[in-house]
Amino acid sequence: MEDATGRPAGETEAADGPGPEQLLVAVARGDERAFARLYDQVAPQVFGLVQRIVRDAAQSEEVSQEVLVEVWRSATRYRPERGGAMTWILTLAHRRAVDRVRAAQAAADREAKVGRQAPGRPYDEVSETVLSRLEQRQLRRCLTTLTELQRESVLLTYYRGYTYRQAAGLLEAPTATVKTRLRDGLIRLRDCLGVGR
Amino acid sequence: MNTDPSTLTGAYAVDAVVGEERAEFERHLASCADCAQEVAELRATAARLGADISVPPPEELKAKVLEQVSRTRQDPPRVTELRARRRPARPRVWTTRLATAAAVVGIALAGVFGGMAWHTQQQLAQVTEQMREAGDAGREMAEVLQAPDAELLRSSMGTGETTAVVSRQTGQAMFLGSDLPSPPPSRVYQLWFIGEGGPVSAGLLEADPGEQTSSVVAPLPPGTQALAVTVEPAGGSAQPTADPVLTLSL
Repeated sequence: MEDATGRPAGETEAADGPGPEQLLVAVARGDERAFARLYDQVAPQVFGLVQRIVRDAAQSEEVSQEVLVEVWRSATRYRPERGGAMTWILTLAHRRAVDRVRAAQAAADREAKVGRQAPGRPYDEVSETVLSRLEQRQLRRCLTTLTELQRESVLLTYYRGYTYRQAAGLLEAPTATVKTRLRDGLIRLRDCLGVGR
Repeated sequence: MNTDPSTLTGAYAVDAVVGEERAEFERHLASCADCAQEVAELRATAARLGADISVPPPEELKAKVLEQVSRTRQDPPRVTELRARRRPARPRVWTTRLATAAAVVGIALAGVFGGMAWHTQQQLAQVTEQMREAGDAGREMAEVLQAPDAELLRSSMGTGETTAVVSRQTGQAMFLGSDLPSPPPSRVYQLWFIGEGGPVSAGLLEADPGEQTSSVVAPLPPGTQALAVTVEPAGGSAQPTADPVLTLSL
């Protein structure tokens, strides 16, 4: 299939029909068919992110279901002028997934009284694994422009659902340092990716 | 901790702040438009990390979601159209759930000026939900917060802070006080709308039970130029009997 516009393959879909923003706006008006189409566009990313954070397959499915139903329920709150639909949906997904992980962790802590975090692997290994799994080359490249501590802080909090204090414990760095590195890292990432408003 | 709370934007954007620290930062966000803007940008950045992984969910998930959707009512949309002018209802004093939502309302206020992270919109949605549950007055308050012409006024009053949001379009005003000094014995704070026709009572600022906050939402009389707070005898007065301890000009 030829693409006369010469746009990347991923974007040609928009030409075939409404993108997530338009669909979400239609969903806000109670359009269930638009929701079904939106589902097809975003569910793989929602599930991918949730699974990455939650790990457990059954729970990931549960959390994804919660997220997607919440997309339906609160679509009326989405304001296209304030940002992309995908950001809106994935932020929601991240929050839910992290909540699930923390609830499970709290339960485990109560049970075992083992303290703050699972022993885990050395963090550089975590980072290597995450980096090598990233599918977007630009994202991978941008992440490599971060300092190691910035990168670890971002990855441990975002993909593992750790609080910045937990991340600091894992990284054996002062919490204040991790807090600022996390911010600096995200800012550098923002600038590298050209994320604007 | 007396570190600069603004540095928490990153951690907040990736949901890595919890508990009281989170609540405290959200209060800070209310008065820091730059922070709210930065949070929005960093959330969009984080979402790029989130969008990286795409995994087809189990086949049956779609049917489950669509089934649940078919029996799930959507949140009502925001109301932005001009309200019909209603009779000047008696001012309502809020003593219920509003107090528990006060911290989050602060975030909502940050959003009044745009640049609100969508996440805080989520919270706004939650607060709106809580307000709706609190009845008619809640709906009105939610409307004020979301009105396109909402004007935010902040000031301190003694040890405490006051925040007012007024919208001429919706004809509503809300006033939120937190950590206000206690009024003298058998005295109360009373809120007034000051206009050409003189002061009109907006209601009493009574501390919500068990909370450090007090709040009032009331119809905004046309021509209101300022909000003022006076100390009045218990039960309030028909007209102010003392000089204002606080004046907020619109």
